[in-house]
This record gives sequence, C-alpha cells and structure tokens, in this order.
Amino acid sequence: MSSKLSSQSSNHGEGQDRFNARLGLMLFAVYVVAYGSFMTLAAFYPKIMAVRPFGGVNIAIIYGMSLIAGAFALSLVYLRLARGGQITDGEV
Amino acid sequence: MSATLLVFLFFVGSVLGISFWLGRKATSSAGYFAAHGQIPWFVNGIAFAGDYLSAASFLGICGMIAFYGYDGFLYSIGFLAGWIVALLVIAEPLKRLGRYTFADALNSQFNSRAITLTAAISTLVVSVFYLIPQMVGAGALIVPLLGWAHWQGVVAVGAVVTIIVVTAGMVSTTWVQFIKGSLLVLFCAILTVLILNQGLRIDQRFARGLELPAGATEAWPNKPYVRDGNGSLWKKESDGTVSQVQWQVANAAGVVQSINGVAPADGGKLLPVGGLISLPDGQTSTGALSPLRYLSTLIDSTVLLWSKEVIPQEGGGTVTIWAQKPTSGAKLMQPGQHPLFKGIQGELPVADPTKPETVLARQKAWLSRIDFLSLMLALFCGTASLPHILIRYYTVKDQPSARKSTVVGIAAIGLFYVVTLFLGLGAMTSGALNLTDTNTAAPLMAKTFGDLPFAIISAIAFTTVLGTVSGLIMASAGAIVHDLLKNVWDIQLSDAHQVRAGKAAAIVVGGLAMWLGIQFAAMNVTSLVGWAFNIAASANLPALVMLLFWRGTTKQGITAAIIVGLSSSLTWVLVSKEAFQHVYGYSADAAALATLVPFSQPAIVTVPLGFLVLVVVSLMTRRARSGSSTG
Repeated sequence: MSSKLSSQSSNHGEGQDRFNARLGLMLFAVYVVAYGSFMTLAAFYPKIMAVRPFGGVNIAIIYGMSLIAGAFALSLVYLRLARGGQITDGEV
Repeated sequence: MSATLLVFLFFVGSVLGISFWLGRKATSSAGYFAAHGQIPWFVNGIAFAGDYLSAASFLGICGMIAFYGYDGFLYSIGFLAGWIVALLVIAEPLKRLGRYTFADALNSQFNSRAITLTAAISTLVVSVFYLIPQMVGAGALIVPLLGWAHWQGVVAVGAVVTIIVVTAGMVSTTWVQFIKGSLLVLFCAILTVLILNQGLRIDQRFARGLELPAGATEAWPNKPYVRDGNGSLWKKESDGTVSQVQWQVANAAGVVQSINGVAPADGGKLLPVGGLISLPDGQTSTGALSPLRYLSTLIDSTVLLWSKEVIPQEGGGTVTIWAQKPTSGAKLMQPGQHPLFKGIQGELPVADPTKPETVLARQKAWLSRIDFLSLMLALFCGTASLPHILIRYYTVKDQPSARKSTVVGIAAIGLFYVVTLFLGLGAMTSGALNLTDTNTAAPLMAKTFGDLPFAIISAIAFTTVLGTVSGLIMASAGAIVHDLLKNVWDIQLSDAHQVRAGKAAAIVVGGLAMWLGIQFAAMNVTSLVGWAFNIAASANLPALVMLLFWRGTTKQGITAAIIVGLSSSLTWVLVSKEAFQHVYGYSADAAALATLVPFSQPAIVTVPLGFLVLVVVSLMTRRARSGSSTG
C-alpha cells in the first residue's frame, strides 16, 4: 500500500507526516496498554504471574518475552505502514 | 603475563585501533555526514544496539538476574519498551524540526538563551549520571581480570578514556559501534548455547541440615548463629539443624581481619556461590536442555541464594555473615526478589481500621507498588529522553532508512535481552558468583567455560565501556563549550581555544566520573542506570513531548519544566533510601529512617510534575498570538 505514495520524497507533504504521527500514536497506545497491563499484573496480581499455562513456564516469562517480541512486531508494522521517503515493495 | 590478559589486550587493542583508523578517515574526508548517508541501514541498526547496550546493560542486568532472578529481566523489558516510545512518538516529529541535538531541537522555535542553558545543564547532569554506572562497571571488569582493587580499575579506565578524548578526540564511528554491537550480541548468543548445552545440575558444596555440633555456643544474643569448638560460625535453622555460613570480620577502620576464619594474607577468601540444591524428580543433573525446558526446570528447582547480615561488634568492628537462603525457582522466576522490588510480593494486605499496624502495612505495600511502577515508567520514558540516544537517531539521512535502522536496532537489542536472561540464570547456577559484587556475574560465569570466553567477554564489555564513556565525556564537553560558553555566556573563542576549552572540560568531567565511580562502587550498575533514566525522563520528556504536540508551549514553559523536572528528580534520588544506604554508607534500618521520600524512584511524581509545570507556566506566559495557536 505504500507503493502508491512512494518515490515522492521531494513532496514532503504535511499529510503523510500527520498520517505517520497518528499511526505512531495508535501503535504506541497498543503498546502502552500491553506494557501497563504487565506492570499491573506484576505489582498487584503475583498469583496470576505464577500461573503456568503451557510448556511449564509461567505467565511472567511468557508475557515478558511477548513484550520484547511485540516491540519488534509493532516496529515492523510501523515500518510497513509509515509513509514518506522511497519505500518500494519488496525492498524491505 | 597470562594468556587471558593477552587475549584481552589484543581484543581491546584491535577495536581501539580500528576506531582510530576509521576516525582519522572520517575526519579527513570533507563530507563526514555524506559518508554517514552511505552507511547501509542494517549496519546503522546494529550500531544503535552497539551504542545502547552499554556495559551497564550487560553487566548489571546479568548480575541482577544472577542474584535475584526475574527482577533483572524487568529492566530488560523496560529498556526495550523505551525504544517504542523513541520510534513511534518522538523520532519523526523531532526529525521534522530539522535539528540534531536536544538543545537545538527544543530551541528551534524560540532562540532562547534560557532554554539553551537549562538544556545544556540537563544534558550534563544526565550524562554524568549515565557515566557513573559505566565507571562502576569498568571497575567490576578489571577486578577479576587483573586482580586489582575496584578503585584502581575505575581510575585506570577514567585515565585511559580521558587521555583518548584529550589527545585524539576519538571519533567513535558508526562502523566501530557496529563491530562492538554485533560482537556483543553474537558472543552472548554463543554463551547461551553453551549454558543450555550444559543444562542444570545440583551443587552440594555448602553443608546444610547437619546436627548441632557438640559444645557449640550462641555467637550473639538473639541471633541464629552458633560458634563451634573450632571457632567456625554456623546458622541454626528453625528445625534445629545447622547450615554452613560465610563470614568476614572487619575492624573499626573497616579493614578486613579474617574471612571464614582465615586472615586474607593467609589465603582467606569468600567461596564462590551460585547453585541449585534440588532439581525436579530428584535428578542430580539434567544434561542439555531446550530454552523452554531450561526455564520450566528452573521453576521446579530450588536455588541456593544467600542473605547478608552485618553485626556490629562492641569494639567498633563488624562481622558480616552470609547465610544460605534456599529459594524456590517459582519465586525467582517472577518479580519481587530484589530489595527494590521486595514489597510487590504477595497480595495487598487488608487494612483493619481498628488495628493501626494493619493500616500501616497496607500503606507500606502500596508505597512499594508505586515505587515499582515509578521505576517502570522511568525506564519506559527514559530512552527517548537520553540526549546521546536522540542524537544517534539522526545519523542516517533519509527517513525510511532511519526507520529500518531502528527496527534492526530493536531486533538486535531485543534478542540481546532474551539471551541475557539465560546468561543471568546460567550465572545464578554457575557456582562462580562473588558474594560481594553482583556486577561481576557475567564475566565470572564465562570463566567457568574457560579462560578464552572469559577474556573475550571481558574485552567486549571493556571496549563497550571505553566507547560509551568517551562518547558521554565528549557530549558533556560539547555541551559545556558550545551551549554554555558560546551561546549562553557569549564568550567568543577562536577555534584553537574552543578545542582547548573542550579538552579542559573533558578532563574535569573525566575526573568527576572517576570520583563518582568510586563513591558508588557498592551499587548494582543497573540500579544506577535506573536513576539516570528517572532523571532523564523527568527533566527532558515533558519539554520534548509538549514541544512536539502542543502549540501552546512557550519558552518559559520549557525552561521551567526542565528546571523543575531535573531538580526534583535529582534531589529525590539523592535523599532516597538507596542513596543513604549505598552511597552515604548508612545501615539498611538507619537509611529507612533517614530517607526524606516515601519511595525511591521519583518518575511517577516528577514526570507528571514536569508536564504540569510546563502547561501552567506556558498558559501564564502565553502571548496574544491567537492566529498561530489554533491547535
């Protein structure tokens, strides 16, 4: 979807900046909720953190690892959707 | 000279050599920034990791995990989350301002001397606080490697770095950060494979569950320690058996007289610790394990941790006793073992209004939880507020490659933090830990795999320290000369004088860093980094975010927010319990009484305070420019 707007780096419109800012804030909100829930669990619900749903590991480990993997996943989503510059499909 | 030392020197020497060579090349080419533009985004991304993964990240987090389990991993999670703030919120709008330094960006619309002054001071304070853990970490590396005292290590690193900065003006290039970053991540991954391959095994070096020796006498009234016929100390457990302890006697001047009953001169020393006393299903060793199995097996095991107690003697000396503390793996694999996080264990106590002690207990439990959340907020907001990280974000020219670099950086840093969990847990069960220094856990663990891994890991960490420290000293010197001398006090200097002023500033900052590194030696470097993040987030984040997202921001608002955020968070950490205990040398109980703040981590109070001050002052000083401020 970024190909439509590609190769227009000279036309540095306010539109794409606003799009990127809004996209960034939306993804950021997703992460804040995930991070905040994790910290709430850690601070107030240690029993939930100790539950071992699968593989013998507890929620604390699974959630913590997911926050790290999730940060990477969100940054990939942002990279894919953000506009501006000369991103062409297949180059990523 | 030992082979270990040779490998270490060779490694450090080659990285420094490459750095000098590339640095000279970069300064001789006219288009320094054009050269930057040609650096592939992947290389630049790994360079992000090289820059960000300081010795503190590596040594401190491994050490904290080795001694307290999951709590060190909490820092990893917070540090990585900070990159999300940097990438998604701060980076693009800041780049749009077309500025490259923190002070310049804040000042892009206002051209105010007050902003330059406060931003420069904030840069200096944050950089110095970030320098402290690097110096402490450097000392921790030198100790096992050369057998020096901690302060000698700190002074050696400080001197080497200051000389490098003063004589050569070391240009830490992107390529060198790339080399360091990839080596660090790669080598830690290799170590993790070794750890998983080794699996887990039981360590029975320390006696426990023995019968009370005949003729044993109580060592101190109201303490659970007994002395046997040979003068050795034991801990009397609640079931009547005794377990082996380690103890150290010091005189009134703090000089160690004996360790485990033997004078240091006669070879008395603390035994290395770190091991399991039980594995699931009565196994004695597991053999190679998958990462998931490694973690789940640990949860079902019992780890032997050590608790420390200092008993003052009548003559003025002290006896320090480390006693065995078997801890279930299930407890260690979730937050709450570190003294800082202790209060978040268990449920919130229920308060009964008729019983004041229950009300007090509930209040205390709440404060511990706020303290914990405050630290996690500081880590989240801190990365995007560190001036030297912000600057590095702009080393590539076009936006897509900046984004791609950041994604590569996040991937490398994330991978590193996942492996550090295993490194820390490997160290926890390595049988090689030094009871008195959490920061040496990773190198000591590497040593159990042989001298070569030990030398390599020390060299990588040491080079990282050199790079980070010289970068921070350069940044501080730059802030002093460019922002303070030139822009604030309007002192016009010739080029040669500017360079000389910069070198003088570097010597002062280097000396200050050495002194602080010695003062703060007892603290885990990650706790110190936590302070730096608290201060950075409180001082810089409100100004940065509001400037980018609120048109009503005025220059007075920015100045006031930085001053209030900086001074309040700085004061807070300096009068916190941690500071009293580890820096001013109070005992734990005395520190709890002396502290002036209800919890240790200020961010949860001082970051919102910064925002509030900025908004209030901006509204008060807002000019009548209704046309442009319809946002």
